Amino acid sequence: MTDRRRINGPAEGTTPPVFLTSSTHKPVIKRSPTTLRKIFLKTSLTPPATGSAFLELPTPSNPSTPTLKLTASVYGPRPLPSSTTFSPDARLTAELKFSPFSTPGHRRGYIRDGVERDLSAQLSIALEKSVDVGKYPKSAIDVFVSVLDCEGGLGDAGDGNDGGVEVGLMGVVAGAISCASAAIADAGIECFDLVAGGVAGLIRERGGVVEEDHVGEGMEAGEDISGARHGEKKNRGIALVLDPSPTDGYIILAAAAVGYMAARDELTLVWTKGSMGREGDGTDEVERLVDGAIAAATSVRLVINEAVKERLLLGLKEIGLIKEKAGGNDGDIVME
Amino acid sequence: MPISILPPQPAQSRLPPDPDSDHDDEKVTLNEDGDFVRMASSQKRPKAISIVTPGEIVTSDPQWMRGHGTYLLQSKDSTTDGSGSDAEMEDGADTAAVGGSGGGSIVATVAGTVQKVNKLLSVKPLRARYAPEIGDLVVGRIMEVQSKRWKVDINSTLTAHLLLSSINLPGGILRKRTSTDELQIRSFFSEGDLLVAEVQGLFQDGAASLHTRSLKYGKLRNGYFLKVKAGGIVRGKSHIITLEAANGAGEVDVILGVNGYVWVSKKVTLQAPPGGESITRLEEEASEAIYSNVNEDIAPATRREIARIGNCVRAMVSWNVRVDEEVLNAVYLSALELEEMGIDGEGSIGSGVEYLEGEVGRIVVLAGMDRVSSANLRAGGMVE
Amino acid sequence: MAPLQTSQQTGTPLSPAELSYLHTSLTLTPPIRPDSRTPTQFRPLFAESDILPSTNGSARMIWGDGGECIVGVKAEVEKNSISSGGPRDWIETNVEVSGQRDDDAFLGMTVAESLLVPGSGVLERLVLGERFHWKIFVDILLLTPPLSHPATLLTLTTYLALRNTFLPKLVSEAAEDPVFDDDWGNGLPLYPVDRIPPPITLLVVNVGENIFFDPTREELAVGDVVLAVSICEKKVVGVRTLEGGSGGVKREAVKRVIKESCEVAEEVFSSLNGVGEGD
Repeated sequence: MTDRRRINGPAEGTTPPVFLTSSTHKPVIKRSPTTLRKIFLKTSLTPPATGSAFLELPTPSNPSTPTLKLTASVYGPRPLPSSTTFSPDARLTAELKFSPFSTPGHRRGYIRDGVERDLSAQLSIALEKSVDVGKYPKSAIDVFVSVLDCEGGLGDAGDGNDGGVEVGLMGVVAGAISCASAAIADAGIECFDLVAGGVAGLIRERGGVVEEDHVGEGMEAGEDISGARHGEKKNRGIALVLDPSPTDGYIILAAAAVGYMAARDELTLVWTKGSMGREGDGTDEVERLVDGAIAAATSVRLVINEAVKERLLLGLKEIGLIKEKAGGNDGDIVME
Repeated sequence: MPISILPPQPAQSRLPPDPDSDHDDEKVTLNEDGDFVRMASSQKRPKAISIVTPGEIVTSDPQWMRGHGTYLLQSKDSTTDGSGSDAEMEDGADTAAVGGSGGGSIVATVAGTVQKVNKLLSVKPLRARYAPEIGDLVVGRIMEVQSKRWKVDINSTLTAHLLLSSINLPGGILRKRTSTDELQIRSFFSEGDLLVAEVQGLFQDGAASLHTRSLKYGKLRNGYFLKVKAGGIVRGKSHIITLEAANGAGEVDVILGVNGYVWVSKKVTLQAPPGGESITRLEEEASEAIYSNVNEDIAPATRREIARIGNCVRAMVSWNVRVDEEVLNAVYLSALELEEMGIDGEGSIGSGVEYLEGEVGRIVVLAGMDRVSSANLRAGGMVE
Repeated sequence: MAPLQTSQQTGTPLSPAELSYLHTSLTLTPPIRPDSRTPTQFRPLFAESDILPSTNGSARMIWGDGGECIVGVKAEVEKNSISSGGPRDWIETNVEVSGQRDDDAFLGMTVAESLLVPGSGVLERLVLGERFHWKIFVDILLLTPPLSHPATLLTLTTYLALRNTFLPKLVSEAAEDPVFDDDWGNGLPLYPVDRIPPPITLLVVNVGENIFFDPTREELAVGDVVLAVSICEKKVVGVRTLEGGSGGVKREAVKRVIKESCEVAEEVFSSLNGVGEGD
């Protein structure tokens, strides 16, 4: 007798539908190593928060490839809970969380792991120095960043890029810094300067030719890149790449992420990975990398400025102070 | 040489020549060998120091009263026979004869030395947190501000209290406190501020109550705070020492808190007001600036000597030498001498020789002790 | 000794007068550190290696302010598996701070990140034939956390332990199950002398124009920026910004910190390599 209480599946198995993907064509990197990706940044998207921002990097040519998407929300300044001790300054806490579905490989649990704690700490260091905490005694400013989607390269099991250092986390940190700083500005919290995050990497130049001519030709992450790398061992030409993405397929020898306050020309965060020599041909690799990351952050800063300004103009327009259309083409701030 | 990595040394070689110098009345005297402190202590205490461990019966003699570090064990076996307790009392040789005479026995609760003051018997632990006593001069740090009092960290088991009514309020030394003072309590002391105070009394739970109602006490400025172990500073005659610093640095004050907190600062001389010389006037003037957080101008030379004196105190405590005016002065002079030698002599230790940790500290402390003993020798010769 | 729970650690701030005194002293030229050290001078430390007989390598270090750290390195044979993350999982680092429940995420991350830097050649030495590999557990036990930041203490001890780690010699063929030489005397060092050594991390604080190594807690409190610079044989393998510091820092200062760290690291390496030679 058949079971009538349940809806039974068909007696014979079905095959799940297969959707046609456009993954057949290879991701072609069009940008040169020193070109940054465009950034979509918009503030005040989370109404309950005092300030918020959303940051997204452009979808690559292949829509199924993940891209970096994150939101930041700022709560505060609000009174510190009575249990905490007196603090003459505002206490800024930052928490960075990966959504369980954000990573391309494994699902991430909800429980905060070491990586998240580490990134949260770095984020709060980067932001704390920009906020004028002395203006808000006995208060707390809480920043929450949640990563909705990221490009991988997090050093997780299965990423398997054993040829170089992973820049995924650095990209996340840099994005989180920029996004959170825009959210802090959106919250109307007094700060000395906005912080922009920037990432730069060093890659080995191939055959003395500038990398950009060659990047297009099938350097995919899945390919056996270690062989290619060993072949180039003798060639000491090292090129700088700005805003590297784990999906670009570079073998990154060393990478740096910075939090940079452009108006004050000061760094709030420096994080490097990978070994950087000091001998070489006179130019110090560390200095080159840090300068590169600063250059990237300076460009990102322009986007933050525009995004913050745009929201402000929008607000002014709403209350009728400004009649004409404010600059910017509806939030999609484009940076070249 | 920026870094020195040494093999660990056995504990003995790090121990000082003189582990006990905690008697207030102990004069630095000298013996035939000129080995002053050790002889002084052995002269004072010809008996071997009796060390007890927790649970050990110190005495069953009912004539003793129990003090700190002991408890009274009501002996159940006093009715049966005294042999059991006798056997346990192998160390308390002089009291072993007294058995079950109805009372209990005094049992140690800490490991340390037995101290007998009149009929009071207490065990002093070798290392413990600071236990405040009335009259102690302490250096403390404000931990919490409450509505009428501050909670002060004095390195003790409980935080000390400083009542708003036990500080000098600005604008006259004997002013009554008002509600305005309560509202601006943070303008006197705020979290993190350092102060020097005296233990005025003890609460039931052993927490200390401090006061700063004297011009000697109050907020600390113009200097550097350092922390040594709680037993490192022993109660003495004077806890505020003024040293004449070398290299034109002027006078440097050292405040040795009994709780192991030490403050080394530039000596601040109170400017007498041009008109009146009366002491009350002076105090009024002083009280205006008494809660300021702004340092005076301190010359680099003074800063250097403040650091050096701080190092001397640290070295003396780590080599278990009693810190008092005479010895500190001598050790400081030795430190100065060492620096001269270091720069003139071997270039290898020329840099950073002012830093007195490890072996350098030991040399300096020993040299300072020698200096004291030779000075005593001379003084003794003159007397004779 | 249990961790001290005094104002030194509970986060009570320093008084404004103290901070200003320290800051002015440290920005002078030449700077005056509160304990009269030169800017590059370290507090003396005691170290010994090979202290735990049941490990492949171990070391212990006592810091000037009482911090004490023990590192034990153990190696186990493990089958290569596809599901695990590949060679980057072959070295596992754990930091345990006694008396502290929540370990600082930073500590483990720094050590692991700099140990696994590409091109260090360690992972190649862990391969055991075709199907097996060594799995190295680096267990760092911070018996007494130092009053200042533990990063330097931790990595120096790890360096010593790894330098003294020996693995039994493989006598079997690549395709067989691994069989090892019984004689410990034939053991192979994990980090041979002529190869790239393990990295160390130096803590550097920048105050005004001056740079200080091995900062104390007070010096950290007045610093502009606190950087942990990991160095491995003349190469910088990682820079991280630590909590603390009062504001941003110019890029020139960061570069100078890194440059000076490399120079100081040279001396630290030579001192570390001298440990144990005396016995």
